This record gives sequence, structure tokens and C-alpha cells, in this order.
Amino acid sequence: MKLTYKGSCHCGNIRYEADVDLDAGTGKCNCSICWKRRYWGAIVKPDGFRLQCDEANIADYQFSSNSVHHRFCKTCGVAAFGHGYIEEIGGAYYSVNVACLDDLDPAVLAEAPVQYMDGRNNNWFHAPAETRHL
Amino acid sequence: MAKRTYKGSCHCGKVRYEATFDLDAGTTKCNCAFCINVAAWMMSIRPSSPRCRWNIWMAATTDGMKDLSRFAISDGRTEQLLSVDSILSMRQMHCISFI
Repeated sequence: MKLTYKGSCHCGNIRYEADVDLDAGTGKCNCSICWKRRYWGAIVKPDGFRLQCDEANIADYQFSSNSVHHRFCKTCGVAAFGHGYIEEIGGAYYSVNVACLDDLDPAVLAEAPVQYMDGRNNNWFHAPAETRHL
Repeated sequence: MAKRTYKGSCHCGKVRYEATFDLDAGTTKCNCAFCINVAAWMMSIRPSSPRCRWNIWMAATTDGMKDLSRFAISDGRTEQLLSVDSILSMRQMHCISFI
């Protein structure tokens, strides 16, 4: 069921609202950036994401094809969300870090289905052989 | 598994370090607010380890660390690392993790 969550970084400089259906699935990936960050994301359409803070507090990290903006707080470093444009998943999107959704019961989050992606081998639509470390 | 020396780095490579530890000695995950936000997975190293202390300090003094506005070491552990240009910088120094 799609619900509206508030999300934030640790220090509170980044704040947003996002309409997320956790039952529709979350994602973990073994690509270079997701693994370093141990990122756990949920995809939302741009109209389901509303930034509620000053964008000046948010850094932007891009690499390689620069197709994704990996955003993080300039103060506490927490990577609360990202956004980009990837044709294969429907174009423009936002990704919220589900570990940054406020007031979310850990037991509810633990029940959310997880799709694993083998980004490390550029095989994004298949799960890697090892996922336990993600 | 015996102790091994690992190289660690952030994604962009500005933070680099070496750390020596035995993974079989145990890693740590925590549900505090910050650890949840960054999905921290940590390996603690004894502050008395001169190698650990030296290597962290050396990492902090390389050119790549100019972006870090504040970096304090006490008893061999990173205590403060603020205004980082990457969450990974913070997590690696804070947690001495990543293998």
C-alpha cells in the first residue's frame, strides 16, 4: 500500500516527503556506490517526491555516466536520496533511502520485499550470486 | 582467519587507509539513529594499535583529505569528522570498515 513517509538525514538538514509502496519492493545492489554506501532504496516517480528543505545543504555526487545524482547531506554525510533518468526503469525517478524514512517500524521495513541487483557486473536486472553482505 | 591488512577507500578515492584486523574476531551492526541511516557495518580496532593510528593519521594528511574541514584523533580513534564531502569518508573513518 502506498503511504506518505517523511524522510530525513541524521542532522535534519535534509527533509522530504515521499509516497512509497514498500510492498512493491525495495532494492539493494552490489554496484560500486551502492556497496560502499550499503544503500537500501525504494524507487518513486518524481511527483511522489517532495523536497522540504533548502537544497543548498545537499551535496551531489556523480560518476561514470553521470546518469544518477547521489545526494547526501553536507553536514552529517547521510545519503538520504538520489535521482536520475534511466530509460530502462521508466525514465525520471527518485530513490529514497528507506533507512532514512522516519517513524517507520523496523519490523515493517524488514518485511519489505528486496530485489537484488548485480550492478557490479552491469547485470542490473538479475540478482548476484552473493547477497548476504548487502 | 588470521589478522590481515586491508586497504579501504571511499567511492571517489579521496579517503584511503590501511587497517589490520581479524574479521573472525567479529563485526558490529547497530540500531542507533546514525548507524541505521548509514547502514554501518563496523570493525573495531584497538586504539593501541600503532599501525591503525599511524595509517589513519597518514590518510588524514594526504592531499585528498583537504576537503575534510575537521578531523580529530584521540587515542587512535576518529572522534570528529564533520563537513565531509562524502558519506563514505565519514563512515570509513568513523567505523574503520569496508573490506
